[in-house]
Amino acid sequence: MHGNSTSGQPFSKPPSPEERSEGGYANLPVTKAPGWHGTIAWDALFNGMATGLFMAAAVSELAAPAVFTPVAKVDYPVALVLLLIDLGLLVLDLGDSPRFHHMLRVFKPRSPMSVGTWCLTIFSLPLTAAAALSLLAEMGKDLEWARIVVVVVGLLPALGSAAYKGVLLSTNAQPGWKDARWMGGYLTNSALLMGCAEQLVLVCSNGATAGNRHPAHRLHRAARAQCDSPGPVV
Amino acid sequence: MEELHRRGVPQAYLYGDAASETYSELHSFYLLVDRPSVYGLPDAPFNPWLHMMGDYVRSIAGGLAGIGALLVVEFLLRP
Repeated sequence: MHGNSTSGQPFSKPPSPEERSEGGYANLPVTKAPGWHGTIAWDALFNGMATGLFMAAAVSELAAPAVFTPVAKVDYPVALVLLLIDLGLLVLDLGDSPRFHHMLRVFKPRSPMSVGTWCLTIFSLPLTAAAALSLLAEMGKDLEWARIVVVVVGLLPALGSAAYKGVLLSTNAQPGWKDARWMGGYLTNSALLMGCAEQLVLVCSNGATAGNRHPAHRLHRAARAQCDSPGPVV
Repeated sequence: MEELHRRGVPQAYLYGDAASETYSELHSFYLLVDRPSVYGLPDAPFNPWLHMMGDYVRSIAGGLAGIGALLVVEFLLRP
């Protein structure tokens, strides 16, 4: 973000007479500094972590259910917690809590922020259901088919919620940001890779406590080997 | 404007009154006496919405590339 942006004022301080020489405008910010600060950086991170974890868990569970179902049941509640942190950061950054709800009164496809609020809101529903069904399964009530349905329903909103962030950050007139054509591609891809990494962490930590449950044990041993090896994660 | 130039402010000009290649009528304009960047205005305003759809496509493509790689690895790991 802008290193010298304090509040939203166009100039941080008036230039002193020594700075105001021939090239005296060089030290002044070129455009009005936007109101993004650290909260938005953390929001981008948690957005990627939540949606990426859900997508990695959903794709893994649907592609190889025998291997991934046990860890997926841990993934969805964690993803829900991460999403709640992300939504909290968004509301915090708005300053005025009801404004998030106000954004849901309109749907403007031409505004990445509107697309984002709607995608996140729609995504939160299947994610909450998947987390609830996973916890219920842990307590003995196994509703596999319902969880699979809910996970499939949540895939598209998850992808949308991951994709909007980069587009939002590059659809403006700020120098540098406005030229970042692949910001969205980078953030969405990194969200998915972070999701894979989070799954790995959850398997490593879960395997240590859950004992040698058979379907997870194979994955756990592979994950253990990967945890211990010095190579890169994915 | 002619009045200003006559009275000795030759560098005065209007910013934003004419449509540019990327924007239609801005419906508001400024009277400036220096480069636009001095006032915190972009030198050559470019409509950010022109590249938004392409950005979405690239964003989804990035996500699908990650999902594709994940699927390839999972199918390679099948016993």
